Amino acid sequence: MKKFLFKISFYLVSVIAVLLFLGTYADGNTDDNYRHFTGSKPSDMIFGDSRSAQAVVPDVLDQRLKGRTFNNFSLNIAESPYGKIYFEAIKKKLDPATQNGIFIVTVDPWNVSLPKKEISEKEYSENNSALADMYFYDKAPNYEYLLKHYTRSWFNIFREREAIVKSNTYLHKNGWMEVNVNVSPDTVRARRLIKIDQYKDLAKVQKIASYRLNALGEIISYLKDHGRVYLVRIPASEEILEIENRYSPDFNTIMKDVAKKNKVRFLDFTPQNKQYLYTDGNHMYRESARVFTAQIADSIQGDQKSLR
Amino acid sequence: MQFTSITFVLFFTIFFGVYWLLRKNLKRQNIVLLLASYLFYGFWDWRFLALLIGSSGIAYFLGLKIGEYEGRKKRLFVNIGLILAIASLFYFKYFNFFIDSFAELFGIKNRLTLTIALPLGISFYTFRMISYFLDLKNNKLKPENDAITFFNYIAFFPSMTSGPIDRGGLLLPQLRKERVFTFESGADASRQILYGVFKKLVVANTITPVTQEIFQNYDHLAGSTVALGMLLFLFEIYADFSGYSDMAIGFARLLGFKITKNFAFPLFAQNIAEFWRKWHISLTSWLTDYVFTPLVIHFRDYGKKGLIAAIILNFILIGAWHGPRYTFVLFGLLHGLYYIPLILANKLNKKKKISGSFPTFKEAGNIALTMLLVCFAFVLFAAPTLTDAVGMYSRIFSLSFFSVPQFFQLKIAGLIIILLAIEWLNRDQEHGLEISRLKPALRRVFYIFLIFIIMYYGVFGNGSFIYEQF
Repeated sequence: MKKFLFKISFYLVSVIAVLLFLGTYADGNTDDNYRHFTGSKPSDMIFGDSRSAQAVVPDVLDQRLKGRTFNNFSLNIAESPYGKIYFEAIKKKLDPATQNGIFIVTVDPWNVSLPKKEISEKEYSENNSALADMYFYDKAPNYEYLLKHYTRSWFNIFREREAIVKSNTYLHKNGWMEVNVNVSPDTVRARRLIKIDQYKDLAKVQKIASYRLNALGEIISYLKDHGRVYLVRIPASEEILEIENRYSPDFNTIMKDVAKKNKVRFLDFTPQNKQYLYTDGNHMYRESARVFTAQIADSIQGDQKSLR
Repeated sequence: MQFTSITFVLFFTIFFGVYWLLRKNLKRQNIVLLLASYLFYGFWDWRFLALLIGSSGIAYFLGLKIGEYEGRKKRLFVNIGLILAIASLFYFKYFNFFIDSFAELFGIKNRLTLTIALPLGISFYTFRMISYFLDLKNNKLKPENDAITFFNYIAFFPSMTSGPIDRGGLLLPQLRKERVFTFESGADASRQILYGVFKKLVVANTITPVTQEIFQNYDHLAGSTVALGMLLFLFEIYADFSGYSDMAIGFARLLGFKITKNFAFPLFAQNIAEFWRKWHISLTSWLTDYVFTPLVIHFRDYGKKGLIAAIILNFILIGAWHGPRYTFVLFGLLHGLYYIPLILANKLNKKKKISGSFPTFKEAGNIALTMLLVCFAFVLFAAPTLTDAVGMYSRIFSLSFFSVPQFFQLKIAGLIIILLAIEWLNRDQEHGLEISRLKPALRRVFYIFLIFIIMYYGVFGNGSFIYEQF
């Protein structure tokens, strides 16, 4: 037995050593979520889905709202719709000592929806998200995440590291998802058409769900104990908004009710949707994202002045 | 808990240490083994643990009763055991299928379909119970008096969720006696596990997305591409299932057990009979002993016709064992039909061993033809419905077959060549990586090469094994 353990330990230790080494290169290129589970626990945060991940730039908020360090903790509609799993993840991510934080909770009809077909809570899409099984949210390198959720060879972490080149979807340390795609009108149009079809299909099988709205209420209520909460609706292209308005004509009314009930402000930016460029009709282009985030910052500043 | 998951690695490492620390106390060692098996099973779904323990308890009790009596009473308890085991398998696996099919056939509005979740590994552990009862009936086995030993036999974790299907005659005696760990056995078990990991994580998981893409979109693809998918599926399912079996056998060996061999290099079979002697051996030998042989005896007066009927029935059962789908039944039937030329030509039991370093043209032709037949039948295995199977076949037999297939990947071709080379070089060995005949330095180089390949090309995401669903 001793001989066996002695000999096999060489192989095991070598494998572990190589993995530990490769893991140190994990960064914003590794995948679209890895960095959400690294870095110190933030006090000022942004929540939502992929629309929020790309449209709300923490750097801009940090510059405008001096003395704050925002973190965008938005994943996507499959992984971070409002529900118990996202709520628990938020509790783990947020610095528990936070007392005066600013929280931007972004909403759209999709991240408060569920399939029309009756399914059990265990079948909700977010159960397959890293948010559902992660314990550590502030380790770098985060081997727990890599072991559980990096499904490719770890040599790819090394080969595709940001020191070589930034990938098309690059997740910044502060959680902002920078998407570098061609935005020539033709390519944008092609992507927009695909997205419109996707959302039309989604509208057929989804409905606004009280489970999600209740979770949204609970999250806001929890965050309010740690600071101020702003409920924000992010704009999208005309066609996507049309689908959304047909899907849930009273969505803004519902959000206003949520805001009123929880005594927070609801900021709807959809009327200004034509001011921005979208990569696919749904997600804001990085330059527009900066302008849009500055407008959120202005609204927050305005709100804080009025409070004083 | 998948064998290839980090959770299993941690589980097995801890268990391995505790298990061998208790080597001087067989009873405690068996209790720890049983707890580990239940933990392993419960990790998937605790709800079905009660079913597993409950059915093991009933089988244990019935086993003792069978041992107490002779004659009618013995037969009664054997029959109760068989009925309960088959009924539980039928209820969980086939009930909805039969109700739905019946309702569809007679145009009745079906209100009976139930929401029944399939307990993991039920086909495997039920077959263990059935063989136990039948072996008791035929006096091949004595009833197991020790509950811990018996419960361990049913729930033995390395082979409980995806096989191999172990018989009581093999496993029960090993559970009763002290296990010994030797360096040679441990080293060889590790090699077998390493090879299993290579087959699963590298070969099977690399091919899976390609075959999925092809089979899901076959109606938009050229016949040549669907045919390529058909060929790749053979390698995928072989690498996946035999990879699991290698790991299961390897982990069992690390615990001092020798369990049933499940594959014997079937990719080099020269006819369909040889293929089935080398593929999923534990299932085919199980059915040969408990179904085919009694059927042959029953049909012996009908000569070759009787043999053909027995083989076809046996293969329909092999197909249906995989699940409640017409495609599986047809998969079995097709394999049964493949046997007819062999039976008519009296070549059923003719063993063809390749003696040279390379196969002759004739041998290579036989292998190619056999694999072609197997691939052709695997379309029925891969297709979720009959309509899909017919759709795939019609794509393959269309003019678009004569076009350049899409999705060709040099990486996959390379990996398959490595797999075939390893298998060919070791085709006379117990498993693909039994290379103790090589010089130590060369062996180490080869291990490092394989470990590197796994780390570099391994796809760690698709942890599930195809045979878990059965």
